[in-house]
Amino acid sequence: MRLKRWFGTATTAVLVSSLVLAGCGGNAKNEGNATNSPSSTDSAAPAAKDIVTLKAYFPGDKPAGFDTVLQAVNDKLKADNIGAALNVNFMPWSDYGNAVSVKMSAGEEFDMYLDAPWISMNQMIESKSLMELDAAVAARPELKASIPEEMWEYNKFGGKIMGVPLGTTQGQLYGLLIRKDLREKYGLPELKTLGDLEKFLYAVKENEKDVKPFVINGIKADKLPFILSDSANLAKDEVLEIGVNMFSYSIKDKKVIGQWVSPTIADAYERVTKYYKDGIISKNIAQEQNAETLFKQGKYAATYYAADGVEGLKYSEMLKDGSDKLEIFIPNGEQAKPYTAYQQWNFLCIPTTSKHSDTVMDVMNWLSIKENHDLMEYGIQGKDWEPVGDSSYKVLSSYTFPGYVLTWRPTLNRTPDNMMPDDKKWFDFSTKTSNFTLSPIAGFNFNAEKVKTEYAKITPLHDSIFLPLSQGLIPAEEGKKTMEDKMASLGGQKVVAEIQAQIDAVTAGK
Amino acid sequence: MNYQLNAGKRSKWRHIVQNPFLYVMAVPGLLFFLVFSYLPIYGIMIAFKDYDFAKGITGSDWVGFRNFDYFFTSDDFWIILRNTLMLNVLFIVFTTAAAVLIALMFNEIRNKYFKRISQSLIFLPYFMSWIVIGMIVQSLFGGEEPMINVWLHNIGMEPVNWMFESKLWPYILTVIRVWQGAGYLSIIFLASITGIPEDLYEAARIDGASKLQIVTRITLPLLVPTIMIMTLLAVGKIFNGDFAMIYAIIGDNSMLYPTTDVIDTFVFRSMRQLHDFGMSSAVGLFQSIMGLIFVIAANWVTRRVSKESALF
Repeated sequence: MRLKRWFGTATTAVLVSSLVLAGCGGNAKNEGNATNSPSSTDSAAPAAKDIVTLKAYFPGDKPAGFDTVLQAVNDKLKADNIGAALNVNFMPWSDYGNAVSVKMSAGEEFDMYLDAPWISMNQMIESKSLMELDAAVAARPELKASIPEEMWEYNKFGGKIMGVPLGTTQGQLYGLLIRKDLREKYGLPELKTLGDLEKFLYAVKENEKDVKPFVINGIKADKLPFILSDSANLAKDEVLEIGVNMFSYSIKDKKVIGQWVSPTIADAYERVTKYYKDGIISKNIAQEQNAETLFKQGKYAATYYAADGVEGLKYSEMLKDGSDKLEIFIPNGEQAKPYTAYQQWNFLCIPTTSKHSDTVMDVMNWLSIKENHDLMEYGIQGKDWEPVGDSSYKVLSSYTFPGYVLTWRPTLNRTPDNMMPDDKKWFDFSTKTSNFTLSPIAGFNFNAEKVKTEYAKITPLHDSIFLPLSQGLIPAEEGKKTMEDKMASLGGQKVVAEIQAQIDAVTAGK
Repeated sequence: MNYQLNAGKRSKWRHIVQNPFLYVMAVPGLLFFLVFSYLPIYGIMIAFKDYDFAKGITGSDWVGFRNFDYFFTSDDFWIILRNTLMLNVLFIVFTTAAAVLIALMFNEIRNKYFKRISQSLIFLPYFMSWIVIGMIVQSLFGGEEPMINVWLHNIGMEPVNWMFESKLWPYILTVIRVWQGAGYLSIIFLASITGIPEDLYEAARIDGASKLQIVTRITLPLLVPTIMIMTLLAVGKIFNGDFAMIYAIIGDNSMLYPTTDVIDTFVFRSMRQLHDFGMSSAVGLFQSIMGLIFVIAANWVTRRVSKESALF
């Protein structure tokens, strides 16, 4: 009897789960292009355009209060006679890439979505699934002006604009977030050089019982050598970040080399080795995932910082008590003019299946007008936010729109008023194209198609050797040698040759 | 012979007619497997194609065995294969042994309420997400001062640097796996024990058999077919590393790769940059085929030893 009941339960479970799974199949369908009706009867404008509903797919969770803001956006779109309404669908990050690919190959009609080389953009372009936007951009002055020329120029694919580049910063500026109160406690001057930093970190190690010197998430540690080098944030004779993990480009020799053998940051590998040995870098670094929390809890005196407008804000709650106990140390800050390819990581793309590409571009142009941009990105003025000057705002609600999917414009950006002054200084610095040096290989985007097998074979080395080397866990000498040996045995030279060939092709065209 | 076969057929039909609801209940399950397991089999061809979603599965170009190259010629191929098999063998053996033991003990509990409560408790970990378990493990073994080390210190033992000692992790993972999975398996075994006819036990007791004798002579032998079926099913997945488990617990800690990196985590890391459907399907196909071979082999061995315990 009990057995029977047990089987009954099991069968029910299977039944329920199969129904649930079946339910997953077509969830997007029912929210589709339903409202195509020309509903502009009450508009007094002479030639009110028919309203087209544009269907968009973006990754992430739907922001709190999004529906209200979207309604306001659609109302304003109507009032401004753009002839469009937005139907925005958010999909969880975990299946965004796959879901979009599948929708695309299944021929589903939608009008815009976020893509990027790290999602599926290169494949999409190769399969001619994306609309070319050059002419459309040229015809839309507000859009064109809201994004710096360099950003348009260096985010083309095969010489064409295949998506509207979305970004705020123009390059990467690296540094560390420092506990100012501790520095002052030890009577140390403001940190200017890596020497100053070292003094600070060792002072913390020797004197503090409950505060440890430095914490960084294990997975982020491949950036450590860029920070802890005498050449940090400078444009020396090597481009360190070329968009392919573990490799860099020596300008002097015009050669692709491994970052681990780079002469420019060789000093940094020595430093991390020493810091790890001396206990400056957390012993726990290999599996550290909670750097942010630990720093916030006051357990560490320094942590990773990047001037990207995100990293620094994570810690703003530490200053809620009115103190100014945090400061930012950017190595070589005064002379900083790092290489950049003016490359952006997010693009608003239009699939070729969309019948409304012109309207999408009209909306993109409309969103490049400050007032409209602010409405979409920060919400309803007075309810969600309040302007503070021209480039800052006060947050009033929990509405946070992921600007990188649609609205990021370097020239229109506002920073929250709780951003610490140091952070704002360096973030604003990073949004200006003139603070960076154009990388000689700008325009290069690695396409691994030809060396897929070898590339797949060397990719795991990043986590198994390159990362521990950057963390200081494997001593510099040993790590470099292991990297060399492994690369050689796995066919890494084929990948290097392919990167080299593609870079040569880019530089030859200049 | 022919007649017998026909009789068999007819009685099967009669069985269906007599118990229609039993079969109706099976329909959702059968449909589930048809839709989600059998129909998608045609996707196997992706493993032999340079898959391009724009061209579709049938439209992509054939590339022969090229997609298999990277995995089989990787430096760590043998290490990863060894880890996958070793961990799975440890998991299967210890989970089954623990589950049988638990089931036998449950069978001896007479207090109804105690039995129900302890059954639920031991079943509970099975419903925990690996992410949650991963966090528990992190707080036990990770951080600058792992909780386990505090305990070790309290009983006067030397602390261990857990996150560097890759040799220890196959055992730790096995313990975690047994804790998580043995309860579930034991319920299945218990159900099968409940199905053993009561008169066998009665006869044994009349003949003066001890409790231990009853367990070793009646319960265990009659449980063997169920154990074999569960084990054979597990063997079918012996080449599949449990990605959710290993990645939630080990994460990106490279120090532990030498003993804990399994096929699935390795493929995940290889494909982080490439996102190549073809290559990952190739590995998946390899895992399935090896699993099939192992099941057939294990079943063949089982048939030799005891025919009625075999799966087919």
